[in-house]
Amino acid sequence: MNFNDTIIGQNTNVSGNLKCTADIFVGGHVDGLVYSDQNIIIMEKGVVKGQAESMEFTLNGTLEGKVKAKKIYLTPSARLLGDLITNTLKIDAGASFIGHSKKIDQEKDSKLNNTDLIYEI
Amino acid sequence: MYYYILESARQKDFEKIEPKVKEILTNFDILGEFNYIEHIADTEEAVKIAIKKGFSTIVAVGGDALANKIAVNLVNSKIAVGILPLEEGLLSTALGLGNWKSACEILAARRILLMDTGIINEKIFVTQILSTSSPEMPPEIRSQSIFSKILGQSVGKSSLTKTPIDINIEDEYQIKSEVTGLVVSNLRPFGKDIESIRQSMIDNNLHLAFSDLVASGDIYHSLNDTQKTLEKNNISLFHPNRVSIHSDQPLFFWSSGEVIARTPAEIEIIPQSLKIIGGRLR
Repeated sequence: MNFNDTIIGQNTNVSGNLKCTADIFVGGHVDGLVYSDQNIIIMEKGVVKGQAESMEFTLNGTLEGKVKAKKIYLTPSARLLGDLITNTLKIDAGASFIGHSKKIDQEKDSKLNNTDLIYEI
Repeated sequence: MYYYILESARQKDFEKIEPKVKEILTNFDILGEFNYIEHIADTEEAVKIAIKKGFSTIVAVGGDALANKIAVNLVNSKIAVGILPLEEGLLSTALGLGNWKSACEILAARRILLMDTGIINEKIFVTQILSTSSPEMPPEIRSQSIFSKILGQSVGKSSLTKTPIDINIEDEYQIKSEVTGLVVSNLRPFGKDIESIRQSMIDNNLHLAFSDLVASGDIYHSLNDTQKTLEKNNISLFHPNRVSIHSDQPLFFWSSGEVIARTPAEIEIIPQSLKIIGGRLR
C-alpha cells in the first residue's frame, strides 16, 4: 500500500459517496458508494452496503449490493449478496455469492439481460 | 535581505557554531540581521519587526516548530521563509536542506517553492496538527525539550480517552468513529521517499488519520511504518481538501507546542500559499 491509499479502520462507519484515485481498504462499515480508479479491498471484518466500483475488487468481508470491476476476486471468507459485473471472476471455495453476474460488455446489451447467471456457492 | 530568528533558550549550543555560521553567510553575502528571541512565543513579534523593516526573507534558525511559527505569519505574503536547520524535522527534510552548512548554500540560491498550508478555525498550520482530549500538555510532552520529537512519540496512556466524533468530508461523505488520537497532516510523513514528501507540499490535499487504539503521536509514527502497523493500530486514513470535525466531548488541536483550535473544527487546505526556500532533489 502507499500513502495515497484510503483506509477505513474497524469500528469506523462511512456513509455517502467515497471516491478515490488510489486504493481503498475497507475494514469498517460503508453505506453508499465506494469508487476507486485502482483497487478496492474489503477486509475480513469490512462491510459494504451499497455499490462498489473499481479496476480490481477483492472481497474478504461482506458486500450487500452491487459491484462492478474488471477483475473480481471472492476469497474464502467473502460474502456477496447482490449483483456483480466483471470480465474476470475468481471465486475461492468457501466464498458465498447469492445474486446475478454478468460481463461488463453485456451490461449495455439488453438482449443478454435474460441470460444472467445465478451463482450460489 | 535576510532576517534570522533564533530561539535562544532551545538552541543553547548555537553559540559554539555561531561564528562559523556567520562567516559562511557572509561569504554567500546573505548575512542579514539576527533576532535572538527568548521563547518560541515571541516569534510573532519578531516576524512583525522583520516585516516592518522590509526584509524579503525570514529564516528560522532551529527546527520545524520555529519554522511553523514563522510561516503561519507569512501565508499569502511576498516574504519567503527559510530554514537553517539545527535539528531534524520533516519540513527541512522535505525541503532537501541537509545540515546547516548545506542549508546556507540553499538559502543563498533562494530557490522559492510555493507550498500548501492548512487552516483550522481560522488558525494557520504548515505541517500538521495533532489532537488530544485535554487542553493541558500531557506530562510526557511537557518533559520534552524538542517539540518536533513529540510528533513521533506517544503522548502517553494517561490521555487515551476514546472520543466519539462525526466527520464530514467535502460534503460528500460522513464518518462516525471513536478516536484516541487524530492527526491532520499537510506533509505526508509516510515512507522515506523525499520526492513523495516534497510532492505532498503541493498536492492540494490534507491527510487525515485517526485511531481508536493509539494516541496522536503514535498515529504519526505509524504512518512511517508498514501496513501491518496501520492495521495493528486500527488507523483510518483519508485525503480530503476540506473537512469538518464535530465531537460532544472537545478535542484540542496542537501545533508548534500549543493548542490552536478545538472541536467543532473546520479544516481546509490553502493551495500554494507559502513561499519557502528549498533545495533541488537529487
